[in-house]
Amino acid sequence: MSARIPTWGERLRRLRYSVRGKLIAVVVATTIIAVLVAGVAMLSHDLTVYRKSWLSDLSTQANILALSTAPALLFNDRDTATRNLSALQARPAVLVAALYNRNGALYAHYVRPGATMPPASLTRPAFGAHIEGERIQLVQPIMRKGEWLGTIYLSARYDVQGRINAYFGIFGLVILLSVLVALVLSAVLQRVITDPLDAMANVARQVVEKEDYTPRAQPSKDVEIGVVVAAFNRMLDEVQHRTLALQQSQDALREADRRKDEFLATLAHELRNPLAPIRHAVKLLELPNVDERQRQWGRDVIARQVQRMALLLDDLLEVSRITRGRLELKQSHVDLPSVVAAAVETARPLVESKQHQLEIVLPREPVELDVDPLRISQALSNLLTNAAKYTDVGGRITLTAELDLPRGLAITVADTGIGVTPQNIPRLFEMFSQVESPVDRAEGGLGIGLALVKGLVELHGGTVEAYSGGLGHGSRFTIRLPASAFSKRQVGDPASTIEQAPLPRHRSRILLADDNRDAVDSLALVLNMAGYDVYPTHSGVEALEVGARVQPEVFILDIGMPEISGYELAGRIRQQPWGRDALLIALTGWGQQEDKERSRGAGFDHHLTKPVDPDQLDSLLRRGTVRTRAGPSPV
Amino acid sequence: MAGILLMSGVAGLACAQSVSEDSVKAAFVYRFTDYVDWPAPALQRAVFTIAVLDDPQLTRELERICAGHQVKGHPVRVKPIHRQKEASDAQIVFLGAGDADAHRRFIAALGAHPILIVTDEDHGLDAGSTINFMLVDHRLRFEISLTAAGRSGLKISSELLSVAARVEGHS
Repeated sequence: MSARIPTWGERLRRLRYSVRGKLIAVVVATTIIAVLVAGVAMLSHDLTVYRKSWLSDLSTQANILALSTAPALLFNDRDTATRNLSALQARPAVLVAALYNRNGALYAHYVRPGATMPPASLTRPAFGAHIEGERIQLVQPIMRKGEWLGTIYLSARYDVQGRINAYFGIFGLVILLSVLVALVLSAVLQRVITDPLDAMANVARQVVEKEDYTPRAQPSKDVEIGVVVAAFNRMLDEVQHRTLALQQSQDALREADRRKDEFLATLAHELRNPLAPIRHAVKLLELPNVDERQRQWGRDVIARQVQRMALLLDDLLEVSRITRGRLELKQSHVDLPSVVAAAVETARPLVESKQHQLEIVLPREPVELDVDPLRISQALSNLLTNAAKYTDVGGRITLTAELDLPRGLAITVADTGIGVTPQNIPRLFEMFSQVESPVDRAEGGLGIGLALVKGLVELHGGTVEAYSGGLGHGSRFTIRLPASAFSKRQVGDPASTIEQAPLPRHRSRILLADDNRDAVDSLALVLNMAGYDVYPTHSGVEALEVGARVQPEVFILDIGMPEISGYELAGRIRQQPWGRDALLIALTGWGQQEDKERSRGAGFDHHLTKPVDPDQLDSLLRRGTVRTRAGPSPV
Repeated sequence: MAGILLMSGVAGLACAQSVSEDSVKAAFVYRFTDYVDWPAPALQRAVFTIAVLDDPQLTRELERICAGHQVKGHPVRVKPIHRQKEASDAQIVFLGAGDADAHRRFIAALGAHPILIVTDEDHGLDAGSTINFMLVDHRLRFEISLTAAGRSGLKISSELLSVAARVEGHS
């Protein structure tokens, strides 16, 4: 950082192109021009006056001399004449005075020391004044009573050059003083005008160079400059504001984009998930030796999974309608319990599959709603599904409806699940947001459930809010419907439903692990019929437990499982003596290259994408079991 | 004194390059009329008379100079005289070279008449004349007696006094 000292030339150049330099130049130039013009005018006037007055002065002098010397001429008194002429000693500007008689001969003269002698004769005098350089000569006749007595001759200084010199000396002095004054003035002007401008220029430079819009120019008391500074600062405010807004909207867009990408991936996954059980069920139904129990099971699987897909697609359509403002409410008069019942019915399969306890508390008095029953029950079922999803197996879910007059009706769904961190609560209702990190996508879902709830409730003029005691402390969602959305009636008993689902079991030496029960069951059925001993499990813990007992040759593991993910499970199996040489197959909806690499890194031998083709799996198992020679010979 | 030649600075002598003393004196006499004021009664006559006592040479010169000129608005007459009585009507009397005592008597006899008496002799003023010619460095000059002028009621111009070689008395 060596600050180079600018040379004089550079300073001068900078000054020349700066406002300050121009101001100085203008002031100095104006001053010099004014002084010169005034000076030249004064000089020319003075010269004219000088010439006139000097001429008239000399002429008067000559007349006086003519009068006084006339008698001397008349009576031939040279001494008196000389004495009269000598009186001019008192006039230093008069150099020569001479008297000529009528013959033109020099009669008497006076010569100032150092001056040249007058001409010896003046035979044909040219009367009047003659200016030659710095001399003025005056020749005048001496008359008395019309009679010409002789001629008087005067020669005097005519010091025009001296005067001009003196004037220019004065001009120079005045100009010098004026320029000094102008410089002082410009220094003052600089403080008033150029300082604010300089400051503004500095701010502008800083803004441009550092792209930092925070600095501001100092306000000025001066009207015009104050306006400029204020405008400049307002412009900076505006630019800063806009830049910030742009930044924010850019960030928001990027975030939305990221969420949309995530959403698309999740969507693909979610749409694909039900396909595996359906395909397995279809495969099962195609087999010739299926009994009626198995056939019924297959139909149930297909029905459930189709229902699940339909719900998913409905949600998607609904959200898109809400965001485009196309959703129309079909309001009708319904009672609260029926709406809640419809919601519970929709959520029941998931709640049951995770063995949650569901408690429902409704107000004693009957409550009738003026709402779109489909939408409200959809919102409630979403909350219930969410609660079931984000609560570990065997949790407790409570739905409570309370009259909170005169404000309205509050319906709260509380769970004992994983909860939400405080900083995530505001983002919960945003589209595509999922609290769970994408590593363990066990619960699936599109991340649109809560956004949909919010949209639906707001369409009814209500609000929805979330509360959580933090991670692991469960969460609570409350829908508030305004008084306008319901009317109160009589009697209604609180209903509570507790459902439990049984745990199916099977045989042999392929271990399956998937938290999607249908997926496990259908695949187990297919493999069982293909002649394998199959041990289906539904969590990592269970898989390890069963694995240690059975010591299977092949493990087919789902990746996205709660608690212990497929990756972790594979690692743990590889650490066991019974699992070191086993064939590990990853079975997942995530089929991208990086997913495959990751599963290979975790210890898997193969990576299959859901829904798996049973024939492909069969051939893989054949090769795998032959190579490891650990399993029974294929059928 | 004849034969003295003067470079003439005197106006009115058109053709003279070197002129006689008489001629210069005549010119002086004529010029004196410009610088002397007579009391008004003295100028009530029809002509301005210059009387010259016994000097035909000067008379001629005067006549020549004055021919065609006017003095104080009157034509000039040059009058040669021989006696004191003939001078009583003149405004100027010129007493040429002659007996000093005779001149003294002449002047005394004229009394207090307003007549400019011009003499040309040593100590002329003592004899009672108003203007007396004299030579200074071979040049013709004159002296003036203000006493005599006062006695005759004449006023002499200061310009004339300034060129006089000597001025006697007080006005």
